[in-house]
Amino acid sequence: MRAGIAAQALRAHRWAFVGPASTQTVAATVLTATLTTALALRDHPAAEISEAMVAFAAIAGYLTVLLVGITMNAAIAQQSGDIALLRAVGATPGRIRRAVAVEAAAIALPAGVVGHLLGLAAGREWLGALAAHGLAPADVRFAVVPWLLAPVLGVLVVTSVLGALVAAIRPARARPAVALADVATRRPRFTAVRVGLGLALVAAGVTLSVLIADRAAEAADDAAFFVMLSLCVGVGLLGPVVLRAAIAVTRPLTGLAGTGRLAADNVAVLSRALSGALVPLVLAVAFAAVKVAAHTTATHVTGRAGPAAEVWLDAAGTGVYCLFAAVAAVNTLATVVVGRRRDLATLRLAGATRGRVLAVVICEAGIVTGTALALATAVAGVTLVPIVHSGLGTWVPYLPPAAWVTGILAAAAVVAAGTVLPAALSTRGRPVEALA
Amino acid sequence: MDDTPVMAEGLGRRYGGRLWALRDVSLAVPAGRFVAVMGATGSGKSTLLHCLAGLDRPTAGRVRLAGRDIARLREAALTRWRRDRVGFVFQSYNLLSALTVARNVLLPARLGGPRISAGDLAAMLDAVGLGGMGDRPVGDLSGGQRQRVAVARALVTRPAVVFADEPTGALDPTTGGQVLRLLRAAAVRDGVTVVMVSHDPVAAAHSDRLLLLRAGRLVADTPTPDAPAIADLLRGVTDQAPVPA
Repeated sequence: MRAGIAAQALRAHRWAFVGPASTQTVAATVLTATLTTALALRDHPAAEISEAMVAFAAIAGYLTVLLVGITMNAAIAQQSGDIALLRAVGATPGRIRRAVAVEAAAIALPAGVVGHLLGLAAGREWLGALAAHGLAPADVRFAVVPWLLAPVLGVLVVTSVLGALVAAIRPARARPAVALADVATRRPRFTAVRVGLGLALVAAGVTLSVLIADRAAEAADDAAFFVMLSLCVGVGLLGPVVLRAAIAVTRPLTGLAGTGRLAADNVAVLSRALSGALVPLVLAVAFAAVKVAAHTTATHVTGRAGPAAEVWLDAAGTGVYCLFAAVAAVNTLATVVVGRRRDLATLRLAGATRGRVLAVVICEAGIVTGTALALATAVAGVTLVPIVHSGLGTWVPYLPPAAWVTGILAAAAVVAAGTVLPAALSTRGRPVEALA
Repeated sequence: MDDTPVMAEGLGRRYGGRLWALRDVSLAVPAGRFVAVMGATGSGKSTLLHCLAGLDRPTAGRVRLAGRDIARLREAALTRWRRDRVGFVFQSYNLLSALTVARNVLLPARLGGPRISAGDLAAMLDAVGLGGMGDRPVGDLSGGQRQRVAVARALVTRPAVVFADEPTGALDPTTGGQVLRLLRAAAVRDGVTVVMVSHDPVAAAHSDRLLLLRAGRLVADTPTPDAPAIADLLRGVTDQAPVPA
């Protein structure tokens, strides 16, 4: 068992893999539920709902690839210290990559099986709810498709392994002296490739949005998801730059209090790690805003609400996807906070009370939430304009104040759950224990 | 057996722009010697150690490590060379805290390095004063015990060279003395070449040869005097204005 030791070393950090494992379980659940529903309705004459369900499953697929990749990436990024040490004492880059890949697959398999079973139950409920709302024929039957486990596991394993390998590129390939120094200083690195790719994706999203603004309503609706996806991933890649810009903007506001200044500095240092959480966060908020505003703008312009069943379907689907993205966001944020245990302990040893430490974390959460909301508003705006223009002839989407408030509170709650909660839990003991 | 396991010619390392962290360093260390590298913070001590050990690649010059020119070695080949011929002791972050003492010591072997028998492992743990503690998680150990685990890991593969970067930096004088005597014994008894970076004259006094660096250049290469004399020498290179490049 020569390959085992590196994997064993990685596996020893079990807590670091709680995030990816739970995200992957949710991914398998959503994927299985949407796929079984789509398959059950496949042969039914109600073509419209069948098409909608295929679209749901496709979105679930894209989200799985994105969110599983991001959470796995964050977990491996936290292990870069151990990877650097293993490299110094004799693990070749290839061995590190193999160990990381094996680890990522070992997490994906059980999470996939558990999620698949949960997904079968969820799919059954979902089909029943569709029939109850008159969207699916009453005689539609739920059936377990045995071969479905294979593609679900396949998608999960491949994206989990890819996400892990991308995170391991730098620590596995870097000269050990550089990798060890990186760990010691936690230098956030901006690579030209990352920034270039981010700018390209944002540009692609905006271009696509402009191009589809004059298309038929339905085509615009389908393409809008890709506008949003491209913008969100682009924003995530640009995350470190965006967060630093956000700090520069908010610094005059936080500059008066030491807590705020400390929080701003922390976010700057952690900008690379935190930008992994920005993608699901922005995606969830923007996705919800687009779906809700598409209906509210229609009501606002035409003066009458859409068909109740359609509104219900959109709301239910949006809820599921937002929950999925929120789970990924909480997990990524929590992975970052847990990795900072020693830093938080150092802060306390330097004279901060536990309350002050938590105040700093709350302040950081505020900066991240504000940045995510601003980005989500921009992404949703770019995505919505073609939809409302092609469908309703207006250039201005409308979102009622209650929806704004709900969105802001929900985003703040997700960020708090991923930062303040784990910080509160990890600062319970004496600070010297965390430094041991 | 190579009789000069550490050799460098015209070694230079530049980071980023024009700043040379290390400039035109040449040296040869015969087998079984214990060399201390000293200098002010930022004088290039750690950079020299990293370049000699193949943990970093020089910008200029050649390095021979255990009889092989490592400058043009590919990363995977260099890693295997290091794993089989070289041991490391760092100041901190030496061990995988989730693994036991024995698993940490066996790390190089488990990573494909030379095989280590159960008898060799037990003897090694005895030698560093950790006999019978193989199954303890390293998270439970004191700082001195951890550093002795790191020494055991560095020596257990019977390397040609051991590189130590401030191995006693985080230890009290007594505990640090134990670690240094282990390194000294490896050099004298087993013929292992030891290259140690330190800023502590007392630690450096355990060596038999002293290299002094200032602003990336080698400014002295002498047999090691006693600790007070080392302190004087060190003051000499740290107090002066930096040499122009």
